[in-house]
Amino acid sequence: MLNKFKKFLFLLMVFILVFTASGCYDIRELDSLYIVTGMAMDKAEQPGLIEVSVQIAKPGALGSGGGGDKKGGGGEEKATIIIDSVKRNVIEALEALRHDSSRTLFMHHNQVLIFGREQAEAGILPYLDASMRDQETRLEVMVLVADEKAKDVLNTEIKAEKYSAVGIRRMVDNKRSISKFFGIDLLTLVSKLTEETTSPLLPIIKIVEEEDLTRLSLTGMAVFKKDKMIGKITEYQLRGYSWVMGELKSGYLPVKLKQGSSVMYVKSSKNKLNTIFKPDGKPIMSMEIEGVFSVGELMGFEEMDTKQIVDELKKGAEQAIRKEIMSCFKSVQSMKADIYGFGDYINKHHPKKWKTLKPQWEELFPSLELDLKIKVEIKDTGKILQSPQMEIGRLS
Amino acid sequence: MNIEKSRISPLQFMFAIMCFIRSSSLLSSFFTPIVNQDSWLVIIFGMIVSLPVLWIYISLSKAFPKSNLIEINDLVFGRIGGKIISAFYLWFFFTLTALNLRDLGIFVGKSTMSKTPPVLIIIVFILLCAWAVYYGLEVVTRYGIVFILISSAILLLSFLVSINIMHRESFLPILNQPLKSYIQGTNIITMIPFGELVVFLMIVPYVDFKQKKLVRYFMGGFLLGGLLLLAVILRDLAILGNTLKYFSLPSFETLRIIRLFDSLGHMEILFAILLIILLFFKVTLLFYISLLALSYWLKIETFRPFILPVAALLVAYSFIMFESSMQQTAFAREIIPFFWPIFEMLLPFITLIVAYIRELPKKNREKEKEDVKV
Repeated sequence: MLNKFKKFLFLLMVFILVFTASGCYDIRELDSLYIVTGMAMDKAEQPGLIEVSVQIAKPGALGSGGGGDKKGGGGEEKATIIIDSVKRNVIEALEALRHDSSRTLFMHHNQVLIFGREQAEAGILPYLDASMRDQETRLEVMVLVADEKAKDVLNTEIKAEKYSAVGIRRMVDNKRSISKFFGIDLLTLVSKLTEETTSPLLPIIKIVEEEDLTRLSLTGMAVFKKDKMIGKITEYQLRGYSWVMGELKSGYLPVKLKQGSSVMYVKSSKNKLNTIFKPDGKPIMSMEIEGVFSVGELMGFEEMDTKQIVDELKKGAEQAIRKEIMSCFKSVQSMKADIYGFGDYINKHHPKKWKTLKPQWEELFPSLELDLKIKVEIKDTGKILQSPQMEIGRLS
Repeated sequence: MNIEKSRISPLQFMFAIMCFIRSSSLLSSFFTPIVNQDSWLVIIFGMIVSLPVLWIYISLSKAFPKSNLIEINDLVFGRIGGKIISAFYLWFFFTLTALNLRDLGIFVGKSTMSKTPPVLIIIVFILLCAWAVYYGLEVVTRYGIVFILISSAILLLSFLVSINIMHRESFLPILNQPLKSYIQGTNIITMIPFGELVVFLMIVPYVDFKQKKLVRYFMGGFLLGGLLLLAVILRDLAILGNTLKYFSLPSFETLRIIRLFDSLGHMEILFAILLIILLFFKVTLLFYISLLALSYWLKIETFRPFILPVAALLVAYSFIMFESSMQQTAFAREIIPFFWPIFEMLLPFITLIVAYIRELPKKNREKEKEDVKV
């Protein structure tokens, strides 16, 4: 009897404890949060200060359908709020924002980190620490450089997207399907900055003003020296960079020849990097680049059969790739920015030689030679074997 | 005097060793900033360096198969000498327990519950450990195999889903750092997980095995545990690359980065689960060993009345130990490598030598034979 009573008492205690003593210690309800979707950092007008702006998903707009019902509502009300604060440090600014508003900032869902151009030119490293150290932020946040002011980029609406920061993230992800180097996340950026001689690249986002709308566009990459922006490379040059890194997964390559022109889809690419040392100890970077293509479009090429065309196309594609690579390489050589991480490659594969090369790398890189071996493979001609134009040419 | 009446199987013993080593993978940040991309090599070096140390432990427990470390000390150094040496060990066991307890409190705070006071987490945790310890060794080690299976499954899963973000180049250049940092790194890895196996000398007499098999299971647990540790470091290094040195919880960041498609990502909660179960095992085992050592030292029949007071002391000890986590990392990096060897190498070695000089193992064996005859 007593035993039963004891058991009952025990169960009762368990129940009471489960329902009263459990729960979250630092509970935060959704309606007390500002969910941060994007963050921008600009150089403030006062020297030494930074302007931190955050884009916040507007609480009322949260969860109410997709972007679709915005049109139905008629009123073009924005789904986001931008708040900003000018302070010496990032955390200082964020804390100021936190205490100056009715809700607390929730950083877990931050999608992008955009630096204003002026700040990028002045150096970004001091402001990365906070994003890495904080427990709420994530390392996969995309880092970008605004062509002008970062805050304005966050302020620009993207037509199909409710929250422009999410839209920017999707734009970057889209580009990343071409090559992973088109978008850089925080971890990659820090990793590149850690390699002493490598110059990181960050995508540039630009506000394009057209007649009746302003939109955002990703144009080329900003080239950094250490953590300071020193120049740009174009989208075309960026493809040259991706060939060298061996990471082109899709995209296209226009080929112009005497007999006609063609656009070819990139299926995949590979690169085998190697270092050859000249007798005087200077390195040559030798590469075996392999690109696999399919034909996307043919124009011209009258009176030629498929085999001839393929041979011509192979030669043309090789030329085009070489041009893309050299365009990029020449441009960064003049900036003295080793964006490829060649220095780091030598360090990893020939650590002994690197010890002597490292102090003079700054002077060596602008005169570095490339030894390119390009192999083009055309796997597929698409749905048609011959172009109608070719047929007509042959008949006439 | 025989406090621990239950016996565990050799397999349980082996899994206990594995679990014990595996739980140290959470502390990889003690040596990753020192050796960077060679962190995995340092583990191999550490395992090689640890072999002679393990030989000391195995020889000791072979020489005195029926006695635990405290009893061995009494036998070898006499009553008073044994008590003094055992007191040092006692302090060592308590410190280890408190250190691991503290690790748990801090890591849970850092990884998942950032605003909960660590004292709450630690108190709840030590109560659970106390509950397990109350039922003795069999209960303490029983779940080792389950924990190893869970942690290995998570490790395997994380390997499978992260192959596409691993970089072979992360490991290069190999062996390109000053010799000093390799020595320091190897020393840390030898002292922190591998050398701490000295605590198992307390429970060897309660394992049910034949003399010869001791080597097999002790070594087996050590090698398999070391391999698991190596696998964890290889994964973290391959994914994080040269940024490995920045993070205080590399495995946590690694699991945070891994994502499958858009929806299935952020697996750090798996790490939190792993952390809690592995540290639960380690703290429970250390807690049990501390209590066992205490009761043998004081020559009392049972340690049960001491469980809660000692638990309270451990909580307090773990809090006053360091002022900050930086201080703790500095302690792990700069003080442990010179201090722990006293307990993990020097004292066991002296014990072994003295025992052989006094020809105790021989006498012991003869005595045992007589016992059998009687």
